[in-house]
Amino acid sequence: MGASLSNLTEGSNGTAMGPGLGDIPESCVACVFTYLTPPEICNLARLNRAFRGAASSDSVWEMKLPSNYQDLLDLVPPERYQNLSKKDIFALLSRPVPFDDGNKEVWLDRVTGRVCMAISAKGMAITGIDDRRYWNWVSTEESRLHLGRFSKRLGRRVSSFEHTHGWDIKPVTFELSTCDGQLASCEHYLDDTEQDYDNGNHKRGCWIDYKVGEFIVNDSEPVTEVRFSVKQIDCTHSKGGLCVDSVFIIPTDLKERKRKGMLK
Amino acid sequence: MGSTSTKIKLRTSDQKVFEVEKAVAVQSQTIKYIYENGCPDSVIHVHSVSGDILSKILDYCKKHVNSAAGKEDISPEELYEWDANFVKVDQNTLFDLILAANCLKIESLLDLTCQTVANMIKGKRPEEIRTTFNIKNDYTIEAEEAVRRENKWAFDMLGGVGTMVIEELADDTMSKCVTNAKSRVCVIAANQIVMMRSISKLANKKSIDVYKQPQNPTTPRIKESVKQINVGTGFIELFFHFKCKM
Repeated sequence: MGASLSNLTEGSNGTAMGPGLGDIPESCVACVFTYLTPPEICNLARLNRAFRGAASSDSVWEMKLPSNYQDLLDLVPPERYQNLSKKDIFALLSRPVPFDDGNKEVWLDRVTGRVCMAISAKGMAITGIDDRRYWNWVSTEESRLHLGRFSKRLGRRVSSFEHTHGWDIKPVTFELSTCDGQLASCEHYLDDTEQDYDNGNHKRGCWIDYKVGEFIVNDSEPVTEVRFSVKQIDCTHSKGGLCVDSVFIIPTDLKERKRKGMLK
Repeated sequence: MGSTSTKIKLRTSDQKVFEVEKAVAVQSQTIKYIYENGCPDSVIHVHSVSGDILSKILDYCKKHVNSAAGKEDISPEELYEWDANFVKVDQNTLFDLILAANCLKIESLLDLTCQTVANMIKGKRPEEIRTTFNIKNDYTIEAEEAVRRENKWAFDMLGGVGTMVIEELADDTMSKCVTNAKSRVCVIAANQIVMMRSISKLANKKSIDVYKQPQNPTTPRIKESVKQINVGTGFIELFFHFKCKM
């Protein structure tokens, strides 16, 4: 049965104690850990030294990592992960790992260990991007991506809202499709008037998430190619002042839990 | 299927003998192995399990065998309820069940009992977990602080898709830091500290207002709103309506 965390329970009033959390074999402790999230396991490390050991074991963390975690590690220079324990690898991968020249990031959700990805606007094809009458690249400090560097000083908010107009007239179309025939599409007005607060009609410069759709990846071979787009083809009215930041690809139930207000 | 009336005899550590239907007894992989590889008529010793615990375990096995075989009219939800009530026992019994389920190799019971323990751990701060399970703290203050820092990454503030998890808080951090006036939560948004609130004030609130410090002191402060507050295991989650970045 292996070693146990024995001698760690103390009885009160000298009464004879039955087995406690400290007396069960390592394999049972590992079984308990399968029902705990990484933050909860890290929390247990603070109980005492033996729990710290149990909470750092490779076998526990190997189960929390996704099966393809080596693919994520391949995006990181080898010297950064060579001698790391599985727990440290999880910690490393839970922070965004940039790739594709910094246009994309991938990371593990801390609670579920599932893989999430963000694609910056720089990694997208934008019609008319080279024409400064239509699009400008703005400061990256306000981006939700990390793009390798960020400063700690107060950032100047670049977007000014007087220019935002025309998005409440007609909706834009969001679409996604996969190479194996999955399709999703929806329409949204890019107008957040329902989210106004005491500031009245003043648009507050918050990033708004629009859900494009869901897709299922059944197998890692062949690779599932996903295409997504936002379109509004309409020249009957003028529009402007839109900031596009990034696209997030995250596991569906993560968004559910976020919406229900549970955990991250 | 003619062997369902076969009985197996089990003797516990306190010399109690149980006669059990084979289908029920072989829920235990250990008993199954011994039965299939030994003399079928002899009594099987389950050395490390007491009569009380074995009795409970046999109840569990019987319930699950009967429900799977359709002998008992019980829906999955009712079985789930039954299981939930089965583990409503004192801690000693719970851990005895874990040890026995492990020794007897009854996987579903081991999962059930371990998940019960996990549920007793969730949502608690370390000191609460110690109290619940009577665990001795063998850290010095410095060592515990070092472990807290070492695990901070799991609770670090995040931006973008997820919610923001504010800097991890612990009771002893609070009490130690009262003199340093640090019994407050730092809310960091867009890499700026925008708010300090004391933890006790946060815990009971449904929403709070966060004021951004403008660069120019004469411009009016910008108010944002925190929509929801969850106090969790050593951290507080604040759901912001606006973007935030690391």
